[in-house]
Amino acid sequence: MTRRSLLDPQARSVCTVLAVLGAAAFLIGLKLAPQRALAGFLLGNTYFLMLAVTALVFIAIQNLVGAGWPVLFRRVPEAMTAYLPAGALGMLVLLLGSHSLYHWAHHAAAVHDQILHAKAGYLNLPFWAVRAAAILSLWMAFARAIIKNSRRQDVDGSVAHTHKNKRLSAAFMVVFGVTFTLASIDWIMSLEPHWYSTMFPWYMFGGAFVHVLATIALLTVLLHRRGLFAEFNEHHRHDLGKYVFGFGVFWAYLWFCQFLLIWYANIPEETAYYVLRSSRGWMAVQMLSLTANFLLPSALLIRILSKKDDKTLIAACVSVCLGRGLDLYVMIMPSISGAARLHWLDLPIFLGLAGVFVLLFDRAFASAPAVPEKDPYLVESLHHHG
Amino acid sequence: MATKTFVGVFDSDHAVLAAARAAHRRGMNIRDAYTPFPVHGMDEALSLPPSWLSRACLALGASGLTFALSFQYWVSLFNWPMNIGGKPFDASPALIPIAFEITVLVAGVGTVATLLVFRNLLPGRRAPLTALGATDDKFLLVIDDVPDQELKAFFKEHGAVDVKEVLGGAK
Repeated sequence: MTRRSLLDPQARSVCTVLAVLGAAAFLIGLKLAPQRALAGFLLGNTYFLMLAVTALVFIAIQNLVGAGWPVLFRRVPEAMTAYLPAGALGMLVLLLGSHSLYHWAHHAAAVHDQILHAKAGYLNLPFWAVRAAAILSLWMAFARAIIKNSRRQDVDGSVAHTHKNKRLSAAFMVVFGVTFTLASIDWIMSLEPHWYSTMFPWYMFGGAFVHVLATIALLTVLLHRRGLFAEFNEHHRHDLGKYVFGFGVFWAYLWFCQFLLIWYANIPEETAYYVLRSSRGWMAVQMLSLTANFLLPSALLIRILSKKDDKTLIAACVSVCLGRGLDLYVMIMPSISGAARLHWLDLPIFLGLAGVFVLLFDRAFASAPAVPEKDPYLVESLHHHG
Repeated sequence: MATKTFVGVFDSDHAVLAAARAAHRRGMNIRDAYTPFPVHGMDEALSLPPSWLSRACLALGASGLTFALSFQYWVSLFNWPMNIGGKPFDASPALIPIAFEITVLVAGVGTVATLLVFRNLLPGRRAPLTALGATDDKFLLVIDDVPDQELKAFFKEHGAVDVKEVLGGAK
């Protein structure tokens, strides 16, 4: 059964235009400021790619613990994984541009630099590409398998699919733990190849997870307002709000942990990262990121009534989505440009990828029934009660 | 028309929840429900007002935070300044973990203590209700201010396995 797209033709063309403009900006940028263009592309692609894979993590967690309440809107995170192949393609583009983006990718750099020389066994382009290929194919394979089972259940209603997905989800969580760690080290942390932080993958996960929760909540509430998910009620919103609130605190905890350990030890090769990110305007961006990811959503969502109120929930989720962009901006851009200044390429490239994400989401969401009608847990979700 | 306090004893959470909802619809005065585990939806069925405990928790957390920060600043700036690893005396990041822990401790322990004190649940309190199984596998609903016969019939109708009168009323 195929439903109509959720986007009206106007919104669809806006997304297409954004994607085309973004691509054009990226291509022009490759000529004029290749490093900045690639960094902007890395930011946008990481933003949506990690969103897509953590959407699968959300599904896997619910499958594993046998949570019934989110079944009603499970098709939302399922459709969000549709960006995975596009993100993989994006990583291919970044592989081609890696010489402009990653300092360690230069042969000459490793020859004259003792630290890079010592790391060359791990940080070299062929191995990096193999790892990226393995990571992305694993993510796509698990997403495909889990979603396929979910959709087959729509047809035959067999409980076997639920059991199969439980096993797949368990395997995926282990695979995800390893692959996500490698992905955040390879794609983002290696922008500063002299620097390392054992907290970094955790911090990255904290940011990605609160982001995916906020996006799921946002999309579900918006779709509910458009008339979908008739049984979606204040208790679903309450639980989503608790999730966003809790993981916003979790992100802040990790954000601070990484800083505290480096600040305490005060070892030059570690502090260099924060010295750069607390000067030349970056401190303001850091504080903005802390506000958008943690302070504002926590303050908005601390009361029960505000978690249940869809306007407040939307505001908090939008704040987290912006905050995630700022968070990645502070991780990536200082390594590329010294001072905190918005480049004309930053926004068009990001919005272009956002257009791609929305189009892919819409297509995937329209290709299956909006609610997994024959899921054995659906009843629980329809009568979800606190 | 005699009205006393009666306890309906139920076998399952579904039954007691259904009875509570029915009683609420009929406008009966539900005094309380006693269940061995939290029953989802019971707070609405009893139409309990929102608890002020969360506000107490916020206030306690805020005082814990204030106390932890001011104490640490007082020690490291005025009372006993020490040079630790060349850090400045007002090394705020170092104070955050302790400030966080004290906030959580004061808010957590304080909220439980507040509950125990204000609901009169401190150790040594005499148990006002003595229906066997209330902490084991039975679900109790306490209703008063309803004519005896009507109340008994109501309980039976909703599947109560037993109806007991509370002598001298609850409390």
